[in-house]
Amino acid sequence: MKSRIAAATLAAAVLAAACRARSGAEYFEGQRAEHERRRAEFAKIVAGDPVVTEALAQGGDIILGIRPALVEDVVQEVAARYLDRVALDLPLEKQVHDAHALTVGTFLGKVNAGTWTLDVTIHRVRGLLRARPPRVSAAPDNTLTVSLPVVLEEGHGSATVHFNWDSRSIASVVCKDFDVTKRLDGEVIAREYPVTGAFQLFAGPERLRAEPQFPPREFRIGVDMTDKSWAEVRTAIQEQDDVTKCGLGLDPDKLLAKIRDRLHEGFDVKLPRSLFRPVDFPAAVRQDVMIEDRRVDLAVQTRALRITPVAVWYGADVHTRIQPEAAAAASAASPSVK
Amino acid sequence: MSRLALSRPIARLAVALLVLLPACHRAQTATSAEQAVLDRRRQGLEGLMAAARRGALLPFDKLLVVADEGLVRQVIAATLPFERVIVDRYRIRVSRADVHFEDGFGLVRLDGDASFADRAEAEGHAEVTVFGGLDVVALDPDSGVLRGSVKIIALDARRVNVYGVKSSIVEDLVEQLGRVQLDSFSALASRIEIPVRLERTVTLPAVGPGEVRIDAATIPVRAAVADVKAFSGKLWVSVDVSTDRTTPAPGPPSAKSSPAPEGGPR
Repeated sequence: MKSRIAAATLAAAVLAAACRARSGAEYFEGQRAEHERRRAEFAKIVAGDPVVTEALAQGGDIILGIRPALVEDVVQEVAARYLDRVALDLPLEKQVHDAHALTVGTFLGKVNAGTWTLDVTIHRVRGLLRARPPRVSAAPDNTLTVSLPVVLEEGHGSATVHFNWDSRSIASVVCKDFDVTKRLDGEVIAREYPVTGAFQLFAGPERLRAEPQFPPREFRIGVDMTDKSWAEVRTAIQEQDDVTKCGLGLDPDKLLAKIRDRLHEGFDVKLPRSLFRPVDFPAAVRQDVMIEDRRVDLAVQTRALRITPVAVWYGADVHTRIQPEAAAAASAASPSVK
Repeated sequence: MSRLALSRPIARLAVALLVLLPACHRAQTATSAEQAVLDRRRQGLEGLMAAARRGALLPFDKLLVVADEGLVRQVIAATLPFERVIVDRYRIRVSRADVHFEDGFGLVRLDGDASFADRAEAEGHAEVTVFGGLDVVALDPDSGVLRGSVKIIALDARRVNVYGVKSSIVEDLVEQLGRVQLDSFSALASRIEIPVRLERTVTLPAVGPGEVRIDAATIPVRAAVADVKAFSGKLWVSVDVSTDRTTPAPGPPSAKSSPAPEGGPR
């Protein structure tokens, strides 16, 4: 009797254990089914998410999505830094020319005394450009327009002033010709120049790149001379201001004012194109990775850039440079756990 | 009933149990690993659903890095096969790898063989599967490389009988592997790099000498991983990026400054 009870108890225990295992498996399957239901719900949410759908549409093994605000920030910062302290050293040899006939009153009445000619050659201008905060805005064709005021300051240079007095034949009886040439120091009048251009975004080999597109353009630069140089010019003219050289007809103040006005009108200078360089964004797709202490070399092939109101999308197909058979087999053979 | 009669049914049951027990053990090991993976997936999916309900499925303020599971799988696979000795006792040879970015969980699965490090593999080995979760993704502070950290969540060790002959060495191996701390298997794949680098500076090369001279400049960039999610076969990494603001350059002295007439285009 006892043995039957013992055998029955043992059998019941084995059955219970089996049942427990079976109910555990059922519970697991139940959880899995519930999980699949939740996954289907989540798939619907994902399908309606604009960021996810745009990223998936871009395609590629690595996708970088950059918000337009960040692109603008970087371009703005680059433009500001780049043009913040630009040293210009322009070998100009620019000419400023002016000529005027001079009429003087004599006992014979007003006569054309002659013509004075002014030639100023600006040999060289050295200056420092500083940028004010730029404005950046999105534009068609993957571009960002940049507009920033640039101030040319601390400019100075060297110039040669050539002043010539050519007296008329009648006047030349008493008015002698003269010719003054002076090598002088000049300075650039500080002005604010609006600079506008664009950066076009490209999918570079490893990263997003912004290429500058600033059309060649000239800016009017006004110059002045140093006080010392003006004094030298004045002295030179005053030296001619005697009767034998028709000095009575030459008012140094008027003449200097005319010269100054002409210099202030300035001359055109073209900003060198080398001022702007391409800018690489700080996020890059790498050509190798480390898995623990093992290095894997990668081949990166960039996809076309896509710009939407949501983001700038940069995608790249990435492949390992070595493809061992085991690697190929691994992904195919390994079953997924769900 | 005699003593012999009593022991006969018990002996039969004992034999039956002995036959069934290994099978039960195998099923339990596999099931517990699958359960661990399913638990992580359920937990991850709940997290995704909650984020979606908050309207923050993907926090994307500055930069989003999206890595495909196929790429990470391929990268790991390129390092196969490899061997590691765990706790100075077990030799693990990993020959297959799989990666799934689904349900808010980055699953890294490594399959291979285990054997005692101090014995020849031919003496007996077991099949092992290590399940890990790509848990932490961060930027390396020095290189700016996006790096993932794998935390082992489950191990499934199965005995391999040669010609149907059970080996006590294998039995022992499987038994011991089941008792090894899961963290010990991290040596197999604890660090996985995503091939994306966030540089800490934007470098502007110097210009000149010549008509224009600009000193080289670097713009500091601050970057930090803000959020990581795994779904739709991708790892979605949100990165906060910001540049250091420039102080506006001072203008020229007002007495000598005047608006410039625009010369061009001419």
